[in-house]
Amino acid sequence: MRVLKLLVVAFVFFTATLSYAQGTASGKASSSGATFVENPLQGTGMGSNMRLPLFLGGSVGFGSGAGVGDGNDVGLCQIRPTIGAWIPGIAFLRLGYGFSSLEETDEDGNTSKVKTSNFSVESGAHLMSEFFITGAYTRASALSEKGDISWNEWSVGIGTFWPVFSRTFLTLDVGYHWVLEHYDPFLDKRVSGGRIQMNLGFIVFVY
Amino acid sequence: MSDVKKNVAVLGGAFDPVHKDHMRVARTCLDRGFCDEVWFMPSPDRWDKTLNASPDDRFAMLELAFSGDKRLVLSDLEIQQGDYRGSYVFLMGLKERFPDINFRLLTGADTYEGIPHWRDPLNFYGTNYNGHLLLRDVELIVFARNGYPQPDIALHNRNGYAPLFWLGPEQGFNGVYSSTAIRRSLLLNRNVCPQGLEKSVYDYIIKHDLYRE
Repeated sequence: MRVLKLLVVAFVFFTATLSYAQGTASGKASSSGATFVENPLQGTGMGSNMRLPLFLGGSVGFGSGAGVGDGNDVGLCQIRPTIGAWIPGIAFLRLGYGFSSLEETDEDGNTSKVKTSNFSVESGAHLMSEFFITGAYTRASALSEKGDISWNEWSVGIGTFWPVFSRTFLTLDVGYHWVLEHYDPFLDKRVSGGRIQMNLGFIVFVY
Repeated sequence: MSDVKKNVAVLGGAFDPVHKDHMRVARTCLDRGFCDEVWFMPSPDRWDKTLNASPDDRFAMLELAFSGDKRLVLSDLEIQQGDYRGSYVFLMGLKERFPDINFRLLTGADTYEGIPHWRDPLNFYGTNYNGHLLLRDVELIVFARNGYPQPDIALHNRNGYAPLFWLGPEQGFNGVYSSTAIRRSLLLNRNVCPQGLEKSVYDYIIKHDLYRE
C-alpha cells in the first residue's frame, strides 16, 4: 500500500513537472533564438531550448538484491529527487536524495518499520549520442526503533534518455550496486552483497 | 560468565553540574545489588552538545559531591581521552582494559529512548551509527526519569539486546532533579542554592562564576 502511495506521488509530481516544462518551453521558443550551452545533440532535437545545463529531476528505482526489503528482495528501492548539470551528448553530474520505507521481519517473525534514505553522487559520460555510462557513490542509511545503521555503496551502470519536450527528458538506467559490509540489527548479522537496480526518471532543464 | 566477574555500573554524562539524583541513583543501584561499584565518568567536551562548564570544573564539582563511599568511584578516564568518542567506543575500550570486570551502563529512561539512534562521532564524519551495537553488547541499568516511560523490557529482550535492569520507584528511586533545571535556576537567582544541588557544589559554582549564560 505504501509503495502504491509513493508511486502515485511520484507520478503526480512527474506529470505536473512535465506540464510546467512544456508550457514554459513553448512560451520561450518564439522569443529567443540563441542557446548558451553547446549541445552536441541539438541537431537531433534533444534539449534544443536549454540555455543552461542545470536540471531538476527525479527517478523511481526498482532493485533486486541486497538493500531491498528484508535485506535481499525484489521491489521498490527508492524515490529519488535529483539535481545536477547535464550536457547532452557529453557528460553529466547529478546529486540525488533517495528515500523509501519498508518493513523488515526478524527471525522470530517480529516486524518493524524502517525508513531508508540515501545520498548519491553520480557522474556519467555519453558513449554514443543518447547512450551513457555512469558511476556513483551512495551513502545509505536505514532508521528504525531497533537501531539506525548506515553503509556505503558503489555502482556502475548504463543508460539512455529520450526527449519528451523541448527541455524535458525521460531517463532510464540500469546499474549494479556493490553494498559494502555493515551490521544489520534485524538480521543480526553482517550484510554485504550486490544489487541490480533500474531507475526510471526524468530531468527538466531549468532554463 | 558475567556472574563470576565484578559488576561495575558506568554512570557517564556531562554532570553539568552534578546533582543529588546522580548520587542517589548510584547508591540505590548498589543497594539493590545491580552492581558492586559505580564508576562516575564525566565526558569531555562533546561534538553534539554544548557544555557549560569545562571538563576540569565538572570533575572538580563531582569530587566535592562525593561522600567517601568506597563503592563510588570517580574516574577521569573519559576526560583523559580528550575527544568525545561516544559511549559504545568508550565502553568497549573499558572492557578491553579491564577484562575481569562486567561493565553495565547506568542511564536514564530519557536517554534509553535515543540509544538506537546514537552515532559514532569518530567514524565516517559522525554518520555511522553504533547505538544498536551498544544495545547488543552492553548490559543496561535504566533508571526512572520524570515524564519518560519505563522501557519495554520484553521488547528489549525480544530484540536480542543484552539484559536490562530497571531502577524505578518500585526499587526506591524516582529522579526529580535535572542539571538543565539547576542551571536555569542559577540564571534566575544566584543567591539561593537550587534544590538538588549540594551546598559544596553550589559554593564552587559561585566562587568560579559558572553558569552565567
